[in-house]
Amino acid sequence: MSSEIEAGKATYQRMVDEVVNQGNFDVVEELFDPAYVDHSAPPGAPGGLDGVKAVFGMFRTAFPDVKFEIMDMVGEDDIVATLVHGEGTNTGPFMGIPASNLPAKWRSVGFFRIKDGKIVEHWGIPDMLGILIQIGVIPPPPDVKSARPHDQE
Amino acid sequence: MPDDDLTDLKWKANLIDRIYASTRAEEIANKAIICRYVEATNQNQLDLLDELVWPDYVEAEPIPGQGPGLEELKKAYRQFNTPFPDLKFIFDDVIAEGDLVVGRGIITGTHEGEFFGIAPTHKKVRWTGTRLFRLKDLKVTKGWVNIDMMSLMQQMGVVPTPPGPDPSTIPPGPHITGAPSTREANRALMERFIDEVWNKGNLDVADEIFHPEAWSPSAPTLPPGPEGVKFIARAFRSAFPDYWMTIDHIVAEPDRVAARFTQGGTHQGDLMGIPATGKTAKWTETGILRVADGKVVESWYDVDMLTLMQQLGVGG
Repeated sequence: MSSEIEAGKATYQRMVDEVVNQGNFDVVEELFDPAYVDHSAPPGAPGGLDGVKAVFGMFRTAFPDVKFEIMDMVGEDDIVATLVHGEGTNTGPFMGIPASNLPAKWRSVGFFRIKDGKIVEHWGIPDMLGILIQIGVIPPPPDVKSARPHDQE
Repeated sequence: MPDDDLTDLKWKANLIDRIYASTRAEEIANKAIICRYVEATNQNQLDLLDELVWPDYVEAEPIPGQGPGLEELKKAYRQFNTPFPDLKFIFDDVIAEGDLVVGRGIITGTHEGEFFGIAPTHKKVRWTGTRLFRLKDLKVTKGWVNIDMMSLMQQMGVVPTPPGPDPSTIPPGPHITGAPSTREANRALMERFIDEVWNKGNLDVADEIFHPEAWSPSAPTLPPGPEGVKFIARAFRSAFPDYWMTIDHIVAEPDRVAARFTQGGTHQGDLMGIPATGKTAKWTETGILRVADGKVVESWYDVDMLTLMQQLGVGG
Protein backbone atom coordinates (compact mmCIF):
# COMPACT_ATOMS: atom_id res chain seq x y z
CA MET A 1 0.00 0.00 0.00
CA SER A 2 1.36 3.36 -0.98
CA SER A 3 2.16 5.85 1.74
CA GLU A 4 -0.23 8.31 0.08
CA ILE A 5 -3.13 5.86 0.57
CA GLU A 6 -2.09 5.19 4.13
CA ALA A 7 -1.87 8.92 4.85
CA GLY A 8 -5.24 9.43 3.15
CA LYS A 9 -6.93 6.79 5.31
CA ALA A 10 -5.45 8.35 8.44
CA THR A 11 -6.68 11.78 7.32
CA TYR A 12 -10.17 10.43 6.68
CA GLN A 13 -10.20 8.72 10.08
CA ARG A 14 -9.31 12.06 11.73
CA MET A 15 -11.99 13.81 9.66
CA VAL A 16 -14.63 11.42 11.00
CA ASP A 17 -13.39 11.44 14.61
CA GLU A 18 -12.61 15.14 14.97
CA VAL A 19 -14.71 17.08 12.45
CA VAL A 20 -17.90 15.01 12.28
CA ASN A 21 -18.10 13.34 15.68
CA GLN A 22 -16.57 16.13 17.82
CA GLY A 23 -17.49 19.14 15.70
CA ASN A 24 -13.92 20.45 15.78
CA PHE A 25 -13.77 22.57 12.62
CA ASP A 26 -10.35 24.01 13.59
CA VAL A 27 -8.64 20.96 12.05
CA VAL A 28 -10.31 21.33 8.62
CA GLU A 29 -7.27 23.24 7.26
CA GLU A 30 -4.98 20.38 8.39
CA LEU A 31 -7.07 17.68 6.69
CA PHE A 32 -8.27 19.31 3.46
CA ASP A 33 -6.30 20.84 0.59
CA PRO A 34 -7.09 24.56 0.05
CA ALA A 35 -8.20 23.64 -3.51
CA TYR A 36 -10.74 21.08 -2.16
CA VAL A 37 -13.74 20.41 -4.45
CA ASP A 38 -16.86 18.59 -3.22
CA HIS A 39 -18.60 17.15 -6.29
CA SER A 40 -21.58 16.10 -4.14
CA ALA A 41 -22.12 19.33 -2.23
CA PRO A 42 -25.76 20.02 -1.42
CA PRO A 43 -27.37 22.90 -3.36
CA GLY A 44 -26.34 26.29 -2.02
CA ALA A 45 -23.28 25.07 -0.09
CA PRO A 46 -20.19 27.28 -0.43
CA GLY A 47 -17.10 25.92 -2.20
CA GLY A 48 -13.71 24.96 -0.75
CA LEU A 49 -13.02 24.52 2.94
CA ASP A 50 -16.04 26.67 3.89
CA GLY A 51 -18.15 23.97 2.20
CA VAL A 52 -16.71 21.27 4.53
CA LYS A 53 -17.66 23.38 7.53
CA ALA A 54 -21.10 24.14 6.06
CA VAL A 55 -21.94 20.49 5.22
CA PHE A 56 -20.83 19.00 8.54
CA GLY A 57 -22.14 22.05 10.43
CA MET A 58 -25.51 21.29 8.84
CA PHE A 59 -25.31 17.61 9.92
CA ARG A 60 -24.33 18.60 13.47
CA THR A 61 -27.21 21.12 13.63
CA ALA A 62 -29.74 18.56 12.38
CA PHE A 63 -28.31 15.67 14.43
CA PRO A 64 -26.33 17.23 17.36
CA ASP A 65 -25.45 13.74 18.67
CA VAL A 66 -24.34 12.54 15.20
CA LYS A 67 -21.84 9.67 15.14
CA PHE A 68 -20.13 8.41 12.01
CA GLU A 69 -18.42 5.04 12.08
CA ILE A 70 -16.12 3.91 9.29
CA MET A 71 -17.14 0.40 8.24
CA ASP A 72 -14.63 0.01 5.42
CA MET A 73 -11.91 1.91 3.58
CA VAL A 74 -10.28 0.78 0.33
CA GLY A 75 -7.46 2.64 -1.43
CA GLU A 76 -5.91 2.59 -4.89
CA ASP A 77 -3.60 5.12 -6.59
CA ASP A 78 -4.66 8.40 -5.00
CA ILE A 79 -8.30 7.46 -4.21
CA VAL A 80 -9.69 6.25 -0.88
CA ALA A 81 -13.22 4.79 -0.99
CA THR A 82 -15.16 4.69 2.27
CA LEU A 83 -18.33 3.05 3.60
CA VAL A 84 -19.70 4.88 6.61
CA HIS A 85 -22.52 4.24 9.07
CA GLY A 86 -24.07 7.40 10.51
CA GLU A 87 -26.68 7.87 13.19
CA GLY A 88 -28.16 10.61 15.29
CA THR A 89 -31.33 12.24 16.63
CA ASN A 90 -32.97 14.84 14.42
CA THR A 91 -33.43 17.66 16.93
CA GLY A 92 -32.52 20.52 14.55
CA PRO A 93 -33.42 21.50 10.99
CA PHE A 94 -32.01 19.18 8.29
CA MET A 95 -31.29 20.93 4.96
CA GLY A 96 -34.21 23.27 5.57
CA ILE A 97 -36.60 20.62 6.92
CA PRO A 98 -37.85 21.29 10.47
CA ALA A 99 -36.72 18.92 13.26
CA SER A 100 -38.73 15.72 13.75
CA ASN A 101 -37.09 14.65 17.07
CA LEU A 102 -36.84 11.17 15.52
CA PRO A 103 -33.70 8.99 15.49
CA ALA A 104 -32.16 8.08 12.13
CA LYS A 105 -29.49 5.69 10.88
CA TRP A 106 -28.02 5.78 7.42
CA ARG A 107 -25.13 4.69 5.21
CA SER A 108 -23.01 6.74 2.91
CA VAL A 109 -20.38 5.86 0.35
CA GLY A 110 -17.62 8.33 -0.50
CA PHE A 111 -14.66 8.53 -2.84
CA PHE A 112 -11.85 10.87 -1.73
CA ARG A 113 -8.86 11.91 -3.81
CA ILE A 114 -5.75 12.45 -1.69
CA LYS A 115 -2.87 14.84 -2.41
CA ASP A 116 0.10 15.16 -0.03
CA GLY A 117 -1.94 13.45 2.70
CA LYS A 118 -4.85 15.90 2.41
CA ILE A 119 -8.33 15.45 0.90
CA VAL A 120 -8.58 17.38 -2.36
CA GLU A 121 -11.75 16.01 -4.02
CA HIS A 122 -14.90 14.18 -2.87
CA TRP A 123 -17.68 12.28 -4.62
CA GLY A 124 -20.27 10.78 -2.29
CA ILE A 125 -23.76 9.37 -1.98
CA PRO A 126 -25.47 9.63 1.39
CA ASP A 127 -28.72 7.64 1.80
CA MET A 128 -30.91 10.72 1.52
CA LEU A 129 -34.03 8.61 0.92
CA GLY A 130 -33.36 6.61 4.10
CA ILE A 131 -32.86 9.78 6.15
CA LEU A 132 -36.01 11.48 4.81
CA ILE A 133 -38.07 8.31 5.43
CA GLN A 134 -36.86 8.11 9.02
CA ILE A 135 -37.55 11.79 9.75
CA GLY A 136 -41.08 11.34 8.46
CA VAL A 137 -40.97 13.29 5.20
CA ILE A 138 -41.07 10.47 2.63
CA PRO A 139 -43.37 7.46 3.17
CA PRO A 140 -41.64 4.24 4.27
CA PRO A 141 -41.62 1.18 1.97
CA PRO A 142 -45.01 -0.56 2.09
CA ASP A 143 -43.87 -3.81 3.74
CA VAL A 144 -41.61 -2.52 6.49
CA LYS A 145 -43.45 0.50 7.77
CA SER A 146 -42.00 0.39 11.27
CA ALA A 147 -38.58 -1.04 10.53
CA ARG A 148 -35.67 1.33 10.07
CA PRO A 149 -32.92 0.49 7.60
CA HIS A 150 -30.16 -1.67 9.16
CA ASP A 151 -32.38 -2.77 12.08
CA GLN A 152 -32.32 -6.24 10.60
CA GLU A 153 -28.53 -6.51 10.97
CA MET B 1 -36.27 -5.78 -7.97
CA PRO B 2 -40.04 -6.19 -8.54
CA ASP B 3 -41.59 -3.51 -10.78
CA ASP B 4 -43.85 -2.23 -7.98
CA ASP B 5 -40.86 -1.66 -5.68
CA LEU B 6 -39.00 0.11 -8.48
CA THR B 7 -41.99 2.39 -9.16
CA ASP B 8 -42.23 3.08 -5.42
CA LEU B 9 -38.54 4.04 -5.27
CA LYS B 10 -38.81 6.19 -8.39
CA TRP B 11 -41.62 8.38 -7.11
CA LYS B 12 -39.98 8.72 -3.71
CA ALA B 13 -36.71 9.78 -5.35
CA ASN B 14 -38.75 12.21 -7.46
CA LEU B 15 -40.28 13.64 -4.28
CA ILE B 16 -36.82 14.30 -2.83
CA ASP B 17 -35.87 16.09 -6.05
CA ARG B 18 -39.08 18.09 -5.83
CA ILE B 19 -38.39 19.14 -2.21
CA TYR B 20 -34.85 20.26 -3.02
CA ALA B 21 -35.85 21.94 -6.28
CA SER B 22 -36.50 24.82 -3.89
CA THR B 23 -33.52 26.69 -2.54
CA ARG B 24 -35.32 28.97 -0.09
CA ALA B 25 -35.38 27.49 3.42
CA GLU B 26 -39.00 28.50 4.05
CA GLU B 27 -40.16 26.71 0.89
CA ILE B 28 -38.15 23.52 1.61
CA ALA B 29 -39.58 23.48 5.15
CA ASN B 30 -43.13 24.07 3.92
CA LYS B 31 -42.85 21.28 1.34
CA ALA B 32 -41.52 18.88 3.99
CA ILE B 33 -44.38 19.80 6.33
CA ILE B 34 -46.91 19.02 3.58
CA CYS B 35 -45.13 15.68 2.94
CA ARG B 36 -45.49 14.87 6.65
CA TYR B 37 -49.14 15.99 6.53
CA VAL B 38 -49.87 13.61 3.63
CA GLU B 39 -48.06 10.77 5.41
CA ALA B 40 -50.08 11.36 8.61
CA THR B 41 -53.34 11.14 6.65
CA ASN B 42 -52.12 8.07 4.69
CA GLN B 43 -51.26 6.27 7.93
CA ASN B 44 -54.59 7.45 9.40
CA GLN B 45 -52.57 8.89 12.31
CA LEU B 46 -54.61 12.06 12.34
CA ASP B 47 -53.35 13.18 15.78
CA LEU B 48 -49.98 13.83 14.10
CA LEU B 49 -51.73 16.73 12.36
CA ASP B 50 -51.66 18.59 15.72
CA GLU B 51 -47.97 19.36 15.06
CA LEU B 52 -48.55 20.35 11.44
CA VAL B 53 -51.84 22.31 11.34
CA TRP B 54 -53.04 25.34 13.35
CA PRO B 55 -56.14 24.74 15.53
CA ASP B 56 -58.01 27.54 13.70
CA TYR B 57 -57.31 25.97 10.24
CA VAL B 58 -59.64 27.21 7.50
CA GLU B 59 -60.93 24.88 4.77
CA ALA B 60 -61.81 26.97 1.70
CA GLU B 61 -64.36 24.42 0.46
CA PRO B 62 -65.42 22.22 3.37
CA ILE B 63 -67.02 18.90 2.48
CA PRO B 64 -70.69 18.60 3.52
CA GLY B 65 -70.85 18.72 7.32
CA GLN B 66 -67.26 19.95 7.83
CA GLY B 67 -67.02 22.92 10.21
CA PRO B 68 -64.01 25.20 10.71
CA GLY B 69 -60.84 24.16 12.54
CA LEU B 70 -58.36 21.31 12.87
CA GLU B 71 -60.70 18.87 14.66
CA GLU B 72 -63.24 19.19 11.84
CA LEU B 73 -60.41 18.59 9.32
CA LYS B 74 -59.61 15.32 11.09
CA LYS B 75 -63.31 14.44 11.00
CA ALA B 76 -63.36 15.11 7.25
CA TYR B 77 -60.40 12.74 6.71
CA ARG B 78 -62.21 10.07 8.75
CA GLN B 79 -65.18 10.43 6.36
CA PHE B 80 -62.87 9.24 3.60
CA ASN B 81 -60.70 6.85 5.61
CA THR B 82 -63.69 4.92 7.01
CA PRO B 83 -65.41 4.00 3.69
CA PHE B 84 -62.00 3.43 2.05
CA PRO B 85 -60.01 1.58 4.76
CA ASP B 86 -56.94 1.25 2.47
CA LEU B 87 -57.12 4.86 1.22
CA LYS B 88 -53.73 6.08 0.00
CA PHE B 89 -52.60 9.39 -1.46
CA ILE B 90 -49.58 8.74 -3.69
CA PHE B 91 -47.84 12.08 -3.65
CA ASP B 92 -46.57 12.86 -7.15
CA ASP B 93 -45.56 16.49 -7.03
CA VAL B 94 -45.03 19.30 -4.57
CA ILE B 95 -44.52 22.93 -5.59
CA ALA B 96 -43.89 25.89 -3.29
CA GLU B 97 -43.60 29.63 -3.51
CA GLY B 98 -43.56 31.90 -0.48
CA ASP B 99 -46.19 30.69 1.99
CA LEU B 100 -48.10 28.53 -0.54
CA VAL B 101 -47.59 24.82 -1.31
CA VAL B 102 -49.36 22.80 -4.02
CA GLY B 103 -49.44 19.00 -3.70
CA ARG B 104 -50.70 16.77 -6.50
CA GLY B 105 -51.38 13.09 -6.19
CA ILE B 106 -53.22 9.94 -7.09
CA ILE B 107 -55.67 8.51 -4.59
CA THR B 108 -56.51 4.82 -4.43
CA GLY B 109 -58.77 2.81 -2.17
CA THR B 110 -61.40 0.07 -1.94
CA HIS B 111 -64.98 1.24 -1.39
CA GLU B 112 -65.92 -0.88 1.65
CA GLY B 113 -68.25 1.46 3.57
CA GLU B 114 -71.06 3.94 2.93
CA PHE B 115 -69.68 7.10 1.30
CA PHE B 116 -72.00 10.15 1.26
CA GLY B 117 -75.02 7.93 0.89
CA ILE B 118 -73.46 5.54 -1.65
CA ALA B 119 -73.60 1.92 -0.45
CA PRO B 120 -70.31 -0.03 -0.56
CA THR B 121 -69.50 -1.28 -4.06
CA HIS B 122 -66.28 -3.13 -2.95
CA LYS B 123 -64.65 -1.68 -6.05
CA LYS B 124 -61.00 -0.62 -6.18
CA VAL B 125 -61.12 3.00 -7.26
CA ARG B 126 -58.47 5.50 -8.32
CA TRP B 127 -58.82 9.23 -8.74
CA THR B 128 -56.62 12.33 -8.75
CA GLY B 129 -56.52 15.32 -6.47
CA THR B 130 -54.63 18.55 -5.95
CA ARG B 131 -54.35 20.43 -2.68
CA LEU B 132 -53.24 24.02 -2.16
CA PHE B 133 -52.09 25.01 1.32
CA ARG B 134 -51.08 28.25 2.97
CA LEU B 135 -48.57 27.91 5.83
CA LYS B 136 -47.80 30.31 8.65
CA ASP B 137 -44.83 29.76 11.00
CA LEU B 138 -44.32 26.16 9.77
CA LYS B 139 -47.96 25.06 10.20
CA VAL B 140 -50.85 24.85 7.76
CA THR B 141 -53.36 27.67 8.18
CA LYS B 142 -55.65 27.31 5.12
CA GLY B 143 -56.39 24.68 2.48
CA TRP B 144 -58.08 24.53 -0.90
CA VAL B 145 -58.85 21.31 -2.76
CA ASN B 146 -59.77 20.02 -6.20
CA ILE B 147 -60.41 16.33 -6.45
CA ASP B 148 -61.75 14.44 -9.43
CA MET B 149 -64.97 13.40 -7.66
CA MET B 150 -66.60 12.94 -11.07
CA SER B 151 -64.25 10.09 -11.96
CA LEU B 152 -64.77 8.57 -8.51
CA MET B 153 -68.57 8.68 -8.94
CA GLN B 154 -68.22 7.11 -12.41
CA GLN B 155 -66.10 4.28 -11.03
CA MET B 156 -68.67 3.65 -8.31
CA GLY B 157 -71.30 3.47 -11.04
CA VAL B 158 -73.32 6.43 -9.63
CA VAL B 159 -72.67 8.64 -12.67
CA PRO B 160 -72.55 7.24 -16.23
CA THR B 161 -69.12 6.81 -17.80
CA PRO B 162 -68.67 8.81 -21.01
CA PRO B 163 -68.14 6.79 -24.22
CA GLY B 164 -64.65 6.34 -25.64
CA PRO B 165 -61.50 4.48 -24.64
CA ASP B 166 -60.66 3.88 -20.97
CA PRO B 167 -58.10 6.64 -20.19
CA SER B 168 -56.09 4.27 -17.96
CA THR B 169 -55.29 2.08 -20.99
CA ILE B 170 -53.69 4.92 -22.98
CA PRO B 171 -49.86 4.88 -22.92
CA PRO B 172 -48.16 7.99 -21.49
CA GLY B 173 -46.79 10.69 -23.78
CA PRO B 174 -43.07 11.45 -24.17
CA HIS B 175 -41.14 12.82 -21.17
CA ILE B 176 -39.77 16.00 -22.72
CA THR B 177 -36.97 17.77 -20.87
CA GLY B 178 -35.22 21.07 -21.43
CA ALA B 179 -33.81 24.13 -19.74
CA PRO B 180 -35.80 25.61 -16.84
CA SER B 181 -37.09 29.19 -16.99
CA THR B 182 -37.63 31.60 -14.12
CA ARG B 183 -40.53 31.93 -11.74
CA GLU B 184 -41.44 35.26 -13.31
CA ALA B 185 -41.43 33.80 -16.85
CA ASN B 186 -43.56 30.81 -15.82
CA ARG B 187 -46.05 33.02 -13.99
CA ALA B 188 -46.33 35.18 -17.12
CA LEU B 189 -46.79 32.02 -19.25
CA MET B 190 -49.70 30.84 -17.07
CA GLU B 191 -51.30 34.31 -17.08
CA ARG B 192 -51.01 34.55 -20.87
CA PHE B 193 -52.47 31.05 -21.33
CA ILE B 194 -55.53 31.86 -19.19
CA ASP B 195 -56.02 35.37 -20.50
CA GLU B 196 -55.54 34.72 -24.23
CA VAL B 197 -56.67 31.13 -24.78
CA TRP B 198 -59.41 30.76 -22.17
CA ASN B 199 -60.73 34.29 -21.58
CA LYS B 200 -60.32 35.86 -25.04
CA GLY B 201 -60.58 32.67 -27.10
CA ASN B 202 -57.38 33.40 -29.04
CA LEU B 203 -56.81 29.68 -29.44
CA ASP B 204 -53.80 30.03 -31.75
CA VAL B 205 -51.80 31.48 -28.84
CA ALA B 206 -51.69 27.85 -27.60
CA ASP B 207 -49.24 27.20 -30.48
CA GLU B 208 -46.77 29.58 -28.83
CA ILE B 209 -47.29 28.22 -25.30
CA PHE B 210 -47.41 24.43 -25.79
CA HIS B 211 -44.73 22.08 -27.16
CA PRO B 212 -46.04 20.13 -30.22
CA GLU B 213 -45.81 16.86 -28.26
CA ALA B 214 -47.02 18.21 -24.90
CA TRP B 215 -49.47 15.89 -23.18
CA SER B 216 -51.70 15.82 -20.14
CA PRO B 217 -51.94 12.77 -17.86
CA SER B 218 -55.28 14.28 -16.73
CA ALA B 219 -56.75 14.08 -20.25
CA PRO B 220 -54.77 11.42 -22.16
CA THR B 221 -57.52 10.96 -24.78
CA LEU B 222 -56.98 14.50 -26.10
CA PRO B 223 -54.70 15.03 -29.14
CA PRO B 224 -51.11 15.96 -28.17
CA GLY B 225 -49.74 19.50 -28.15
CA PRO B 226 -51.69 22.72 -28.74
CA GLU B 227 -54.44 20.86 -30.67
CA GLY B 228 -55.67 19.11 -27.49
CA VAL B 229 -55.68 22.44 -25.63
CA LYS B 230 -57.65 24.11 -28.43
CA PHE B 231 -60.13 21.23 -28.51
CA ILE B 232 -61.00 21.52 -24.83
CA ALA B 233 -61.01 25.34 -24.79
CA ARG B 234 -63.29 25.36 -27.86
CA ALA B 235 -65.63 22.84 -26.21
CA PHE B 236 -66.09 24.96 -23.07
CA ARG B 237 -66.14 28.32 -24.83
CA SER B 238 -68.83 27.20 -27.28
CA ALA B 239 -70.93 25.71 -24.46
CA PHE B 240 -70.49 28.87 -22.34
CA PRO B 241 -70.32 31.86 -24.76
CA ASP B 242 -69.79 34.26 -21.81
CA TYR B 243 -67.10 31.95 -20.36
CA TRP B 244 -64.70 33.59 -17.86
CA MET B 245 -61.76 32.33 -15.81
CA THR B 246 -59.75 33.97 -13.02
CA ILE B 247 -56.44 33.00 -11.43
CA ASP B 248 -57.00 33.11 -7.67
CA HIS B 249 -53.56 31.85 -6.58
CA ILE B 250 -50.38 31.11 -8.47
CA VAL B 251 -47.35 29.09 -7.32
CA ALA B 252 -44.34 29.18 -9.62
CA GLU B 253 -41.00 27.37 -9.66
CA PRO B 254 -38.32 27.51 -12.38
CA ASP B 255 -39.66 24.42 -14.19
CA ARG B 256 -43.36 24.43 -13.34
CA VAL B 257 -46.23 26.65 -12.38
CA ALA B 258 -49.47 25.80 -10.57
CA ALA B 259 -52.58 27.91 -10.29
CA ARG B 260 -55.94 27.75 -8.66
CA PHE B 261 -58.76 28.99 -10.89
CA THR B 262 -62.40 29.98 -10.67
CA GLN B 263 -64.39 29.86 -13.89
CA GLY B 264 -67.97 30.14 -15.00
CA GLY B 265 -70.54 31.15 -17.59
CA THR B 266 -74.04 30.53 -18.91
CA HIS B 267 -74.64 27.11 -20.45
CA GLN B 268 -76.02 28.05 -23.88
CA GLY B 269 -74.47 25.36 -26.11
CA ASP B 270 -73.77 21.62 -26.17
CA LEU B 271 -71.14 20.64 -23.58
CA MET B 272 -69.59 17.25 -24.41
CA GLY B 273 -73.03 15.84 -25.25
CA ILE B 274 -75.02 17.77 -22.62
CA PRO B 275 -77.53 20.03 -24.39
CA ALA B 276 -77.79 23.69 -23.33
CA THR B 277 -79.62 24.18 -20.01
CA GLY B 278 -79.48 28.00 -19.91
CA LYS B 279 -78.15 27.73 -16.36
CA THR B 280 -75.32 29.81 -14.92
CA ALA B 281 -72.48 27.83 -13.38
CA LYS B 282 -69.32 28.63 -11.43
CA TRP B 283 -66.68 26.06 -10.53
CA THR B 284 -63.02 25.78 -9.46
CA GLU B 285 -59.94 24.03 -10.79
CA THR B 286 -56.25 23.55 -10.02
CA GLY B 287 -53.85 23.30 -12.94
CA ILE B 288 -50.13 22.59 -13.15
CA LEU B 289 -47.91 23.25 -16.18
CA ARG B 290 -44.42 21.74 -16.51
CA VAL B 291 -42.14 23.95 -18.60
CA ALA B 292 -39.01 23.06 -20.61
CA ASP B 293 -37.16 25.47 -22.92
CA GLY B 294 -39.94 28.01 -22.36
CA LYS B 295 -42.79 25.73 -23.57
CA VAL B 296 -45.37 23.70 -21.67
CA VAL B 297 -44.46 20.01 -22.09
CA GLU B 298 -46.81 18.37 -19.57
CA SER B 299 -49.91 19.55 -17.72
CA TRP B 300 -52.26 18.33 -15.00
CA TYR B 301 -55.78 19.55 -14.21
CA ASP B 302 -58.20 18.72 -11.43
CA VAL B 303 -61.54 20.29 -12.25
CA ASP B 304 -64.59 20.37 -9.99
CA MET B 305 -66.78 18.81 -12.71
CA LEU B 306 -69.15 17.40 -10.07
CA THR B 307 -70.15 20.91 -8.93
CA LEU B 308 -70.52 21.98 -12.55
CA MET B 309 -72.80 19.02 -13.33
CA GLN B 310 -74.86 19.62 -10.17
CA GLN B 311 -75.34 23.28 -11.15
CA LEU B 312 -76.44 22.24 -14.63
CA GLY B 313 -78.82 19.77 -12.98
CA VAL B 314 -77.32 16.68 -14.64
CA GLY B 315 -75.54 13.63 -13.17
CA GLY B 316 -74.25 13.69 -9.57
